[in-house]
This record gives sequence, structure tokens and C-alpha cells, in this order.
Amino acid sequence: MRVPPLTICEKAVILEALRSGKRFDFRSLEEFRDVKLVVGSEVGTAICTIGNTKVMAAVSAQIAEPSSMRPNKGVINIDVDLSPMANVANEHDRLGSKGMELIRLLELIIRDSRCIDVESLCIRAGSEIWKVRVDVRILDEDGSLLDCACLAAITALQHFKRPNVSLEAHHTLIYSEYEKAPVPLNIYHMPICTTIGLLDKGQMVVIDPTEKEAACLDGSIVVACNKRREVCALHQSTNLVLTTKQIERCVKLAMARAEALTAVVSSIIKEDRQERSAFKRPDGFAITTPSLILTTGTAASRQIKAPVTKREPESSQRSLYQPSVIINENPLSVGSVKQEEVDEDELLAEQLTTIQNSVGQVAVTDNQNTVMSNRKREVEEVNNLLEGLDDSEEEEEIQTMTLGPSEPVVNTKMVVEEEAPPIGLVKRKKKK
Amino acid sequence: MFLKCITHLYLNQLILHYLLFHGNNHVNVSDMSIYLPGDVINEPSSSDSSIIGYGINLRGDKRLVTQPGALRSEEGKVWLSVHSKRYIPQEGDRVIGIVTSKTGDFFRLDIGTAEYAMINFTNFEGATKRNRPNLKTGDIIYATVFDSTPRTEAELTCVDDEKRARGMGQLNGGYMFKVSILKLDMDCYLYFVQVSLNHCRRLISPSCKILLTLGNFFKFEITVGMNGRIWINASTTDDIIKIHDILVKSELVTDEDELIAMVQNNYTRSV
Repeated sequence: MRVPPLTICEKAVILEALRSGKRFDFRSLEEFRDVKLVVGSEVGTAICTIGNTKVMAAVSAQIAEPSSMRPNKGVINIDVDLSPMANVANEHDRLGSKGMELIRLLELIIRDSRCIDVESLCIRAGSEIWKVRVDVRILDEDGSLLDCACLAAITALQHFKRPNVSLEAHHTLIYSEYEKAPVPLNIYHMPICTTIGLLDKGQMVVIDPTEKEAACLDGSIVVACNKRREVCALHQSTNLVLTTKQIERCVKLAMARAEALTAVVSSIIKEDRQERSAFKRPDGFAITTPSLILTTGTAASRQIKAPVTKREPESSQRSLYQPSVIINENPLSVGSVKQEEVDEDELLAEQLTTIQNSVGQVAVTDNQNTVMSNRKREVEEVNNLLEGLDDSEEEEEIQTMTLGPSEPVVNTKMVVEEEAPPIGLVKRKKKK
Repeated sequence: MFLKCITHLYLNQLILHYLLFHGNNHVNVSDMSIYLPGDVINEPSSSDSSIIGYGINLRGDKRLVTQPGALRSEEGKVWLSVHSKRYIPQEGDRVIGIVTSKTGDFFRLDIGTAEYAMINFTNFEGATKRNRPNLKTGDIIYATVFDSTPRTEAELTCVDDEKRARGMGQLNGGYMFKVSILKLDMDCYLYFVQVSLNHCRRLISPSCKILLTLGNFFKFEITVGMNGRIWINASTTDDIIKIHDILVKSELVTDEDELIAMVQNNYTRSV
């Protein structure tokens, strides 16, 4: 497919507006669009949107053999996919010039700026290293694609935790997340990209241009820098000749942006870590789905807006969703809970407390202790929940409610509904 | 199983869309039945509804649905109102096309379909063999589809049967856009709804108050193509920006008071 060509009248109006400092989205020339950043419930995933641009990044790691040139260094691979979903001009599984530019720049910013400590990804020099893979998926395109992709990738890398390993004499042990806490990557700094459009041979700058604006502009410059005011990458998309002053101005703008966004990323990561350490299951991308689809309700035919059904208060929602989540997550809860293990844990805990008491003021900082108490807590939680589930299931009645008035829905052949009520539309109601 | 779920979700989405976006249409939602591709229309149609419209195919004497949508019927005509973004050319539709190239006697136009559309240079008012219309790549014209045979390029014309333009032809100046991306800004985020053709149809329907309300505040020209493109022109760029904003955002607004408030708000707003 092709993108509809830019018309003469569009270009004229957009340029006229830009020259007089106006934009079609009511921004000023030096104003950024809103950035929205969400980390997933799975570690190492993030979605970032800047205006209508939307990118998802996912990080994964596997053990591989290092190259003979760098036997003690981990590898970071970046994979970009520009799907036709984002822009009709994109072809499936083919990057094209735009995709190549994007992937090269991402490699430059994330890998070549050495923001990630690759030495710590080495397990056994010369034979085993961690190979970290960053998958970047472009979901929607509307200008500043590199900014969005870079931010998503950096957030995902910050969010990611690789499994813990221990070295034995002849083999390596990889622990699951329940045995030993996973290890986050060592990230020295966060390079943040800023796209700055150039107008009138660089005399005017248009910050964060949308796709249409970018098509009318003379070119753009991308500055990647971190909050320590270091420039990590500088890329100019067209061959405009810029003066040092112009470039300095762009870099200054980018630095202010980098500081602000670094704070956003760190606060999101911190919040997520806190939730996880408190054994809360983070919402993840669930909050990106509108409650409009999640909850059910009827709408009058003349209702102006989407029927805004209020989300149920947090507590009740959690109790609805938690059982299934924990069952999937915790291997202990599969089948019946082993009573012996609980007893063992209790015994151990008792022993530890006695030891602690005897030692007095000296704090016991044994890993085993925390792991065990964690496990105990988990087991208790699951027990409680399972009991709750068994009781409630008898009382519960699954009600499927369809959107819209009931009559026309019944008229159309909806055999599907009885067989497979989709999860999003099923609402469980407790009858008391 | 999976597919069924998807279909089900899709159906619900469809109903939802109709509830949301067809609020002020003449069709009453509770009387509406929604069909999916592959369904056969069994409803007893009014007497001899021999004219079959968009989204329905005849297979023997069965009326087979080819597009998902709501069934509409009127005086012996049956068609499906389909909620789509992609325009499929139909004879008699007025569309806005972008000139992409010139080949021999034809101009090649982009009207948002899979194939390019063609227009002969003689199909302009006052055009003769010597006096050809002067169109450049990137110009836009407002034209009627007069031949839309499947699997061929659609052919357009800028004159009616009497060789009169009647508003058709090149659109000079102004700003053209496609109503395509609309953000539902509620308690949720990162959610986009793309609706275009519907909004265009709604804008030009006589019962729609959007343009009338806009006209009370702004002085502007507008051309709405059935292919989802809208061209507007006003005396200042500010006005163009404001009108553009209202037209894009008015998609979900069916309440008149809310609409007036929105227009008023944009009118006093500084760009």
C-alpha cells in the first residue's frame, strides 16, 4: 500500500501556520506532546506513546556462546518491526530505508553508547554469556518515531530482570524467580532521544513534529542525551548545513527533555518495583484497555459519549482477578498445597526467630531467611484465596451481559455467546 | 474457538460503535439488526425489494452478507450500513482526489482506494482538446465517480450530464485532511478509534447540526468527499486550525448543547 501523497494546499497551510508559530494541535513550536509510558505485568515490557505514535518494546535474555573476539562480554541485539498496522506504507517483514535508519540509530543509542554493562552479562568467560534481545514493535506512527522507540526500549531494559545463575564445577545452575530473585541489568545511564524539526534551513525549530508536519519540514535532527548532560548520539536526517549555534540550541532543548523523561522513567520503574515487592500484581497493559470494553453496561441509543461505566473500587476488582493470576504464577499452588512444606517453613521460621533472639541485636541478613518467609507468605495467601474461591464458586453465577440493548442482540444469531463468553465481557456477580 | 471469540468481540464492538456514533441518525438502534459476512438475510423485506445495495450479494435466491454492518431498508431497497475506514468506490459518489501523475489524456488520482482512479481531461467544465485543465501533482479535485467496475481503476468526472461543473473541479487554497484518527480521551488511555467514512456521511446529512453550528461562528467553505476527505477554507489560518479541530473532535458529539459549547470554546481559544 501507499500513503496518500501530501497535497500542495496542506503543505502551504501547515508551513504558513508554523511560520507564524501555530500548529494544528494547538501546541507552540517548542512544546512536546504528552508522553505516556506503561510497563507490563511481565518483566521487561513497556509501551510508550507520544501523541499518536505508539511503540511496544519487550526484552528477553538467553544464554549463548560469546564471540571469540569478546569472550567476556554479553550481547545486546535489537530487533525492529515496522508493521503495516502502523503505517500502510510499511511492508511486512521488510524494513525499508526508514526501518533501517531506525534500527541503526537504536543500536547506536542503546548498544554503542555503552549504557548497559555488558561485562556483567558474562557467566563463564569464553563459553557462556547472556544474550539480551530487545524487540521493538511499532504499533502506530505519527512523527517522532525514534523518540518513542528509544524511550520504550530504555524503559523495557530498565524493567527487565534476568534469571539468577550460580556457577558449579562443571555446570551452571539457572534459578527460577521463585528460587532466587532475578537480577536487573546494570544500566549506567538512560539515553533519551529528541526529534527536532528544522524549518527554513534550520533557522526555525519545530519540536516533536507530527508525521504531516515532518513531511512539510526541511529536515530534522535527532539528539540523544542523558540526564548527566552527555550527548550520546546526534543524527541529522537531511543534508542541511547547520551552524554550530543552531546545533547547540537543539542540544540544549534535548538535554532539558532528557532530564524530564529520565525522571518519568525512573519513577515508573520505582513504582513498579515497590508494587512487586509488596506482592501486588501490577496492572500492566490492562490499564491500556479502556474500561469501556472491560466493563459491561447498556447504552441508550442517543447517548453522547461512550457509556462511562465506573470501574469498581480497587479492592473488589483485585479479589476478582487475583485467584486466577496467582494460580498461574505460583508453582506451589498447582494441585493441593503441601501441608508439610508449610510446617517446614514454620519450623524454620521459629528456629530463625530463636536464633535471632539469642544473638540479640545482631541482625540476621541471610538470604535463605527472606526467601523462606516470602514463600511462607505466598503459601498462606494462596491458601486463603483458594478457600475463598471454593466458597464463592458455589454462590457465584456467571452472567454474560452483552453491550447494547438486549433485543437486537437476541435477534441476530449469537450462538457464539453461549459457547464461549469472552473474558472481557463476562462479569461475575456475587449473589448474597 | 479463538475465532469465535474474536467474532463475538468484533460484533460487540460493532454494536458499540453504532450506539456511539449513530446517535442522531434516523435509524432507531433497537430496530436494527446486525449482520456478519456469511450471514443470509432472512428478514421479510418490504414487498418486492429488488434493489440490493452495498454489502449484500445474491447467491441464487439467497441474499448473502459480504460486509459486517447494520441492515437498512427503504422503499424496496436493501443495503448494509458498514462501519469502515477504507473507501470502496461506488457510482455517483462525490469524492476528493489528489492528483498523483498525468498519463496521456488522463490524470491519475488518489482517492483512498486500493487502486488509483482516472479522470479524462475532457471531463472538466469548459475543457476542450486545446484547452486542457492545468493540474499539478499534489492538486486536489472534487469529482463524481461514474464508473466503478470491480477490478479496474475507477473513472471520475468533474461535470454532470449537461457538461456543467456544479461545484466540482479543482479546489484552490484551503486545507484538506482525512478524518481518520480520533482519540477517546476518557479514563483510559492509549486507545484510538478510527472512524472516517461515517463521520463524513454524518456531516453532509441534512439533520446534522455540526456545520450549521460552525457556520454561526466561523466564515468558511467546506467540501466533504464520501471517501473520508474533507477540504476546508477560511480567511485565516487560525480559523482553519480551529475548524479542523472541531470537525475531527465532533465525531462523538451528538448533543447540540455540547456541540455549541465546543465550538464556542474553540472560537475564543487562541491558537
